[in-house]
Amino acid sequence: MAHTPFERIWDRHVVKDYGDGRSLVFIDRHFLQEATSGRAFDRLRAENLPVRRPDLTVGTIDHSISTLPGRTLHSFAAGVARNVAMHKNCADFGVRLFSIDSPHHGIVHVAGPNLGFAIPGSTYVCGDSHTASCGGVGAWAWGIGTSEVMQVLATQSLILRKPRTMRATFNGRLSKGVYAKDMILALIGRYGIEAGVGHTVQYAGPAISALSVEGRMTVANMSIEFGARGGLVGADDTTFEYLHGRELAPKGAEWDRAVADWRRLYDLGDAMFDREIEIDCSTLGPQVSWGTTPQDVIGVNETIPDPSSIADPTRKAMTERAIDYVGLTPGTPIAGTPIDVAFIGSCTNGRLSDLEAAAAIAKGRKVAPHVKALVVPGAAHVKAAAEAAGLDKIFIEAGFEWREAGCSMCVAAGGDIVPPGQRSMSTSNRNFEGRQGPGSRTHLASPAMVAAAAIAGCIADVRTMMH
Amino acid sequence: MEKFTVLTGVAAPIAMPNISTDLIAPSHFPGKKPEEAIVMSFKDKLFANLRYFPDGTPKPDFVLDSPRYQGARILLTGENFGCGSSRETAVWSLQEAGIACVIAPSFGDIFHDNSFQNGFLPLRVPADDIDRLTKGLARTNASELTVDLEKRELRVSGMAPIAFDLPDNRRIPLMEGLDQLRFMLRSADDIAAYENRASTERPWSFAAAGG
Repeated sequence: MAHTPFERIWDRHVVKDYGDGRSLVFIDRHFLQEATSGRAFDRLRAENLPVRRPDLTVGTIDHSISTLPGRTLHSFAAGVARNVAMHKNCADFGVRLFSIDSPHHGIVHVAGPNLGFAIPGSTYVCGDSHTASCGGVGAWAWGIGTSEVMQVLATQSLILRKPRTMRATFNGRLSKGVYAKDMILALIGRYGIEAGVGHTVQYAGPAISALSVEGRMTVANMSIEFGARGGLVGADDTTFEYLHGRELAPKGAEWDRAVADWRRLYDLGDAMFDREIEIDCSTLGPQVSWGTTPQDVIGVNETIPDPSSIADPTRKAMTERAIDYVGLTPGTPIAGTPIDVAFIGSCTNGRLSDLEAAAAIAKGRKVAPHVKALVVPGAAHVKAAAEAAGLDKIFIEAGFEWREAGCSMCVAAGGDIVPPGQRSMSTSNRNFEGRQGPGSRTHLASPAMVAAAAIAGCIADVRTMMH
Repeated sequence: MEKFTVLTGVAAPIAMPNISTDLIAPSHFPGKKPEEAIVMSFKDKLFANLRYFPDGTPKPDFVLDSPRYQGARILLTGENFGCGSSRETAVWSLQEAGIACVIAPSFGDIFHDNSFQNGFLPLRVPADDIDRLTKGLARTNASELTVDLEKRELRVSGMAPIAFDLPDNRRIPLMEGLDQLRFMLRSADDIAAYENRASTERPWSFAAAGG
């Protein structure tokens, strides 16, 4: 049976096989963020251990900061201690930190690929569940807990059980008004939030190949919402074009050798996956979540599910609870549901192409008067590029707030919070109860769909606003 | 780390699937400002959005606040417990509240691994068995359940023991209270040998952070 690209990556990173189903696996890249690394550094201090490979480790600050213009590390009171500790930890242990004054600052999963720190075939970890975003460039990337962050700092390795493999093939072509976000929401909606547990998913097929690297990152980003810690897209010419010349990417002759290696690594041949699933993108319309898990997804022209038509008692109870929490009526269309907040940003959809898609809808229009609308670029480089293209002016003229980079309202971070009972249309990744603040109600969708909802004042089919 | 061999304690049912780490360990506390919430203990924030209304007033029916389940050591719950965010505070919050084991049909992957790192047991048990245990516990006044890692079985008085599977590479480190970092540091020479080999084979993978 021919190996899958993931299995080849696994094989070349095994330091030691313990012979009991566990292996010690070498970590090529470790990106730290302030919210999950504090206790890891505390343990290193207590043990008098150094960071084993500061040359393979970088850090940023993304969760605990205000995104208001003119912010400092001290603007968000609840984050000050963590931010100050992160500076001290990185200085004490010799870790390069891209803090808020760096042009490379940003949400960790937006900053990593942009730096060229994430490269194809690498093992790439971060103490954050959306690390699989970097699978968009062909890195095997996954989120880890704080104990594992500490272990990587100390040993540059992790004890792992080899995940099973799965290929999710996206067939067909996307129609206008349908984006990478709709692809991954549709996949999770169809197969469920547990389908990927224990697997590393390879996203493949013509609709994936046709995506930009940024779109591929959006798909891979939500691997964890599909249950999978890691998900990746095969590296190809699109990937190499994206990575070439980036600050921390290989250079010169090393680059050529690396690309040759990556092509071999990602040659699928007749690779056999443990599980194969597929999605037809040619019939896919804009998707929106209605409930409190990312599998509660429908097309924008569909209706809220009716629990009385569900036979399975657990599923019925879940649906009733979700509908009660989000305050919707079973059997009614989701389009037309009034919203209070529109959030464009996050590691899922905070990249330049996301802001471009939203700006194309916002241009020359106005945000509905009752809607609070935020655009939070995913990183400093995204903000700079957007401003160079005049997107900030489009958003501001339309009535959106234009912010500094950070995690922001995705996780009710840095003071950006959805008030109790309010309804948010959001480009982020989780619609869990309380995720955007106690009592917050979240609908997940693409940046264009969120811009459309901000303007209409309610959930709306973005295709009716496109020419 | 404390050794986990046989645990007997009150088991509280939270019959709900897909309890995310956001719900277990929320970043906010209902009715409080972020700077007030950040200094609260993990224990006090545990399940805060299930326990309190958004304005901070307690909900009347949260299971861990009922007298019957005071001092609970074990939770019985639905599928996919601990899905979502990688925050290890989810495990630390449960531990601070005195809970040492969650029994569910399935778990979120990261929470599952984080649990073992802390000597906390996320035990996969089929939903049918959890139903039987819940019903068995409802009959007794004590609500006590025994999780026996040596015999690999769950016991409730008045019921036949229920066997469970747990691979030895999970079970034995828990029983020995093994600290994983200590164990990994024993492989320092293997790691150094790997680095020498891999940096020759794939030099572009090394010296990544730049200056």
